[in-house]
Amino acid sequence: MSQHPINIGGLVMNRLMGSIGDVVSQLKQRALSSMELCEAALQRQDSVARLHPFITCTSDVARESASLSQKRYGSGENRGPLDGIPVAVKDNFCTSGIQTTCGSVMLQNYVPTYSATVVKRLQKAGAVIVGKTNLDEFGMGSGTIDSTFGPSKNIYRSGIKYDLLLSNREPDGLDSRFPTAAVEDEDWYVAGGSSGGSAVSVASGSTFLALGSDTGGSVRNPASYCGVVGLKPSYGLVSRCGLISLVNSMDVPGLFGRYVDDVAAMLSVVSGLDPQDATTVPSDLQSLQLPENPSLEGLVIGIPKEYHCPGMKKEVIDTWTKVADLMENCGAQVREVSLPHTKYSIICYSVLNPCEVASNFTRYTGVFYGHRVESSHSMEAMYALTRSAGLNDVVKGRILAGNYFLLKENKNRYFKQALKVRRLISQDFDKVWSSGVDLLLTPVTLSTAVRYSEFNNVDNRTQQATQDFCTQAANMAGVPAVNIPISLNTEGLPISLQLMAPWGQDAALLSAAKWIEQHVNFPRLQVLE
Amino acid sequence: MPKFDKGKSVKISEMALVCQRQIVLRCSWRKLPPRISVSYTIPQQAFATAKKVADKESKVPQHPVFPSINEEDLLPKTVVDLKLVQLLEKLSLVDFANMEGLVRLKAAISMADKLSVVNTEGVEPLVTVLENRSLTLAEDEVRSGDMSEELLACAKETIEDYFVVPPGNITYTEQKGYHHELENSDEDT
Repeated sequence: MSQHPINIGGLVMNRLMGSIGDVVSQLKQRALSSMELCEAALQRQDSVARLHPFITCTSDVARESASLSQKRYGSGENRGPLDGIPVAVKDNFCTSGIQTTCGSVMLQNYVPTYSATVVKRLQKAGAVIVGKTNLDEFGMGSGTIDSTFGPSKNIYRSGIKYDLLLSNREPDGLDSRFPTAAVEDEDWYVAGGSSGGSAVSVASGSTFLALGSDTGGSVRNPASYCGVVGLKPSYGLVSRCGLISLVNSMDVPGLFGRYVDDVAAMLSVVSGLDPQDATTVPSDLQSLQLPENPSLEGLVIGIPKEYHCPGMKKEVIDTWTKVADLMENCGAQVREVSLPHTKYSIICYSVLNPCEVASNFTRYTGVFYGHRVESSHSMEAMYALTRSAGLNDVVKGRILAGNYFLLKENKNRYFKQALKVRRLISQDFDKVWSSGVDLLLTPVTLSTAVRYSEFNNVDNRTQQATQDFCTQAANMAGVPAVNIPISLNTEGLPISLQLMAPWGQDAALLSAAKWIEQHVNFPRLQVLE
Repeated sequence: MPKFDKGKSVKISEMALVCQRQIVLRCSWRKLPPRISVSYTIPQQAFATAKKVADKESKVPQHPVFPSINEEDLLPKTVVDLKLVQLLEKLSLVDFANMEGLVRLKAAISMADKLSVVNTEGVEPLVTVLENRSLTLAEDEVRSGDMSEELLACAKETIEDYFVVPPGNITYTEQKGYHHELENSDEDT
């Protein structure tokens, strides 16, 4: 485990739950050093290790980055809003020289020779990468249960000691309304998925920010369960070069943080045209600055009625209702809208995902990298045995299904049909935007975090089909969407909501998200270990 | 919200019935929402109360919208037979043509079949959400190289500067005797 050459006091540990803006000004004033901050983050990583947010801890690399950052602050130069800030990277982003496993046996021994563009941009901005986070194998799942390296657990009610603070502005105001003790029977709450490790890393204060990936809700789902901000940017604004492919037409690097401002700062660093990713477009987000006090004046908020689906818990509906009413009372125009093809989104995804997977996963043969099972007499045998041993049942099942949907006799009925339904889903959004709606407000998940004992009773595909209902359509249409934690329920678990905006309107989306954050005062977690 | 004629006094029992009828009309008959309970007051006052609630009504739907898909409209179910699984295994090479794989495949197809009820006449397939944008292709220039050692180091089996692969002219499925094995497993289904 990591050593601690510097003695980290409680005051510095408390800084871990602060906002990036506060911490960077402390670093500039030399009230805090980058090395201290790095050590605190590594120490917190140790304390919450039993939640298993990380697959790989990159303490050496982190200390090196922190040391360079400290020198920069010392000489008065700093690289911007992320200089010296501990961040985590989901383990499906390539990191040069650091193993990148995708949570799978297939890539357990894979050490990339290059870094993903978003990783390079974070490093260039001075961010301190402290580890690679756990995920459902190859991003397939909504619980971070299906990883070769074991599940990641939600920090809420996990047995890790924490306080809840009434407001981030008054660190001494304890909120004692909610239970924080471990849940009974050694059960625990799932972190959500597939970017569960990243969500837990941010929620626990091990990092300020984390990279995730969102194809069907894989950033917003764990953000909802873990009570953190989770942004899925517009498709094309953030480079996918180095993000190990799942569904090329829907994958998007996603961002986690505890504050909307922090996520905005990260977006300004990672977004922008990348010559190495032909599906990126130019944007002006590099100079993104959210207003200090965003306003709802003149905004039209749409409430898509189909998002109240059967099985949604009453407390989620109540929260949705409260926030919609609050926004209406504060100057926004709120109206009910319809996205009639919502119910087909999951089914459409259940076809398009396996089709792209069947194609993308032909690269896993054991020849050039990754796991390999010896079979000296036949190449096909070697491929089949390697892929069988290296990929879990969820992955294999999708490859088979994808190849079925792509058969000549099936292509029109399944693949082409799904592509057409995708257009209908996308057109639903276009019609709503054209009718004068600026943003959509919806739930994210049907309930708060599910207990592992319950979650595990249902198979992966059914689980995803249920949990992804509110998140999937945004990936179909490529529109930006953000998860905002709103409140805790009687069990002390986070309830969150989602905002969606037209393609490219990420700045407007985050402004509105910031407004909500400022007005709901979500109780802040303060880890005591 | 259920609609009542303005100014008309309505009996409580009638109100409850109207609520129920209107909701049943909108939803699939298979799944009725919980009964709407109407508290006891005299008819004129009850209506006044109902109107007041309607004024302050949230835009958030308080009852679920049922996403029912009429199963009768679906095309006939595909038969997943031995020949099909062998073909898929040949294309997939995941050694998953066993009971578990069959079950998953059938479930995946069953879900995907529901797409056939959507009327997509005249709708163009959407391949990328960036279809209306001009995308930049990188210049065809060499930017990095001389990495043969690093790249070979990623592979398990190499000889000198070569990646090693067994002979490619033997079909796995024939060699494994799938016909026999799958026939046996099919008997159990």
